[in-house]
Amino acid sequence: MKKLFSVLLLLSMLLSCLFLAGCHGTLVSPEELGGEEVSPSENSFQVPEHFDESKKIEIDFWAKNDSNKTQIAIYRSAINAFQALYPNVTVNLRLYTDYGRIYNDVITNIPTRTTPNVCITYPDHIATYMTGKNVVVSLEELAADPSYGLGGSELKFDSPAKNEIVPQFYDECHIGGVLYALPFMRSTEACYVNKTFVEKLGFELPETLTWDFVWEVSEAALEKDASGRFLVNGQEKMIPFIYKSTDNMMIQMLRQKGAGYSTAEGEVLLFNETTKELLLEIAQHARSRAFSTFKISSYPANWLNAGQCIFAVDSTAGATWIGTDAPLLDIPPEQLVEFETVVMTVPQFDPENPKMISQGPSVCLFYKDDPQEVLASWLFTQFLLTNDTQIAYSETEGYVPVTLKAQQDPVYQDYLARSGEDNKEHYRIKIEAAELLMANTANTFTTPVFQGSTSVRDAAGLLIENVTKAERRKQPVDEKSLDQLRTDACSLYQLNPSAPGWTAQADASAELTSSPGAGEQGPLPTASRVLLGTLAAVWVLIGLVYGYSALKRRRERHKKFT
Amino acid sequence: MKKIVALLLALCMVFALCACGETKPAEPKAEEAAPAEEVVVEEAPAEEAPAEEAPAVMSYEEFAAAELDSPVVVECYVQAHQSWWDNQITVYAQDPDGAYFLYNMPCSEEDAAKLVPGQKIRVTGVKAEWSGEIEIIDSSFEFLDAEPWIAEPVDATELWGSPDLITYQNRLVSFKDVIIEAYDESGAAFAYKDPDGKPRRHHL
Repeated sequence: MKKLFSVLLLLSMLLSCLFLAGCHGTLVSPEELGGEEVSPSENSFQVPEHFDESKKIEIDFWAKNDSNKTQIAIYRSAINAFQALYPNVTVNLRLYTDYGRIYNDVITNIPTRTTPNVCITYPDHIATYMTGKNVVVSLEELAADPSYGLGGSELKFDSPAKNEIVPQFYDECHIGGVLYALPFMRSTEACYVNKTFVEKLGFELPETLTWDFVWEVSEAALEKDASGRFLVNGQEKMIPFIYKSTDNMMIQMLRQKGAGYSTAEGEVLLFNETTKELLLEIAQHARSRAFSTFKISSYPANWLNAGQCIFAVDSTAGATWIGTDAPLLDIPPEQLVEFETVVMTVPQFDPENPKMISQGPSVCLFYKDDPQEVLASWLFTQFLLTNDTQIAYSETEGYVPVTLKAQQDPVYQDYLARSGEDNKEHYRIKIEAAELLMANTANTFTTPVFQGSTSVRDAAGLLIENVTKAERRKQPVDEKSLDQLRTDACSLYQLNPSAPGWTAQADASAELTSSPGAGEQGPLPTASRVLLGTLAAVWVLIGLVYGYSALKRRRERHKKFT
Repeated sequence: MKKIVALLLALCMVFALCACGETKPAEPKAEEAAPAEEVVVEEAPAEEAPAEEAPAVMSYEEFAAAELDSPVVVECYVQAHQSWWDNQITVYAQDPDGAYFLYNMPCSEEDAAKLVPGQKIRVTGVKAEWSGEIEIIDSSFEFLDAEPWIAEPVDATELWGSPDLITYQNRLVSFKDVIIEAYDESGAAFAYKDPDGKPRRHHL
């Protein structure tokens, strides 16, 4: 009996070990990226008392442009103007055409401490850069400095004060409550609609697009004639609804549904029942070929302009490529079709409470040994927020200046008022795209930034891409395939969701309230409950064994004396 | 037995305390960051090959006739490739009958070094079209032992500016007696619109 009891106890403990081993997540340690994780306060910068204008300083500026010569010219113009004010500073410009490349190059250069001084980037990327001490400079001290900070007294240019930057955009540049970047440009996503075709199909555009409307019209647009040509455009090709950035698509859908995505603490809430429902719906429309993505079918703008798409979702910063009269065109001119383009918000589940992503480049600084070099970099960064640069750059695309100062400047107001005057600088679609964001700034949101947030975003996009591809390849999407997709996404991006499987709809408010001291944290995840339960069980067993031994000793002593 | 039980209880507690450590979502390794293309193009892991059984090796004719989004298997010879990055490589390959564009093939850096012109490989993937480019995506490959083969470039000079040029996509071609000059005084290679503001076809 004793042996049987011992064997049972042994088995239960071995099983407990399995539970506990499974609680571990996988993590690429910051050491693998060449650094150690540090708290935000360790990146603070001591602002020098004076900027030494007698000292020759060279700074490297890595910037991204949208394959747009005018944007390059604006960067160069800003550099020349800055260097004229501060002749001791030379700014070396290095240009990229995508953020991914900047990200890769910065990551590669961190271990060798050969990062640039100033870099156009996304907050998600900054979170990864901050894997070591003194890599990314905290801008708190610099921004607040009375002499060289925002609107500082010693500046040689008209820098915006803190309250002259759009508060929402300024707040977005905080990580862990610390300012790590300044916003440079902002955009959002827009749905560019071929209104001509919508009406031809017998529909009327609502004030705010809804997902139901978009799916309904998209399915209706698939009707063909006897020869196999689509009735709506008379062509052999039509993909009614194409989405450029599927990561944004998933993130926005979840936010609109009030479902979870991630928290500021890095908890991954993406794999929930709402996500699964959304994927099953998207799969339906991928199966019918009413829906596709940029990665599968190429630029939505190209399909729209060729009359082969009705709802093209892309950034407002891509507006110059949209429409019959677009200043930039990526299809042969003979393929261009005449139609009326309307710029609308991305589809919504609740049109009374629209929600859309806020995106766009920000600027961060990298730590250097010479504090004068860092200060020079900061001065240049601020210069990028001056009105001339902000207005000029925003006019190249559907961007919006990030300062209220620039937005309210008469030059910018005049630019907006001349919408449609020509198809170049005052191209209607471009200006309407910018106005869309300005009218909806309060309806925009960003996602939590933490080390790994880029991976969660990539996983979100992958889910939509893979269900769309699967349906196109006649591999039906169902519960089983979604479970496998979840596993593959977690493996590929080394994600450790808070619970196994697809959780019951996680409340999106958890994303907003789970910062430290924010109040109720919500229920414990299942894995934590299992762990704590196992710990309690083990202690109970220890207590039982100890009690049994004590009792036995007592009996033996009693026998001895009797 | 008692001592063994006690020891195991203690070990259980040690494991439990280890598992209590804070778990954070991991950032992928630096080389697995956003890919080199202008936009983030995430391919499914190599394990996500089409669920149905991969077909037999196809001739180029069979490949060309295959439907888009259908599984394909081809044997071809590497002619050139783009830079390896982020455990992926894009390869230009040919066989005597045609050419293949192998987009973002999962590939280790070690294997990328072996993908030299003339190397024969077997590629299993899915046929796709992206902006007119016929390609094989979501693929895997294996090296084949064979005599190296490099295609003779086809003289496509006469097809310059012709809509038939597209039929030679992904092939090794040559253009003879061509003068490269700037499109306008800015030094640009091409412009999206002509001086009158009308869209124009791209020039090579």
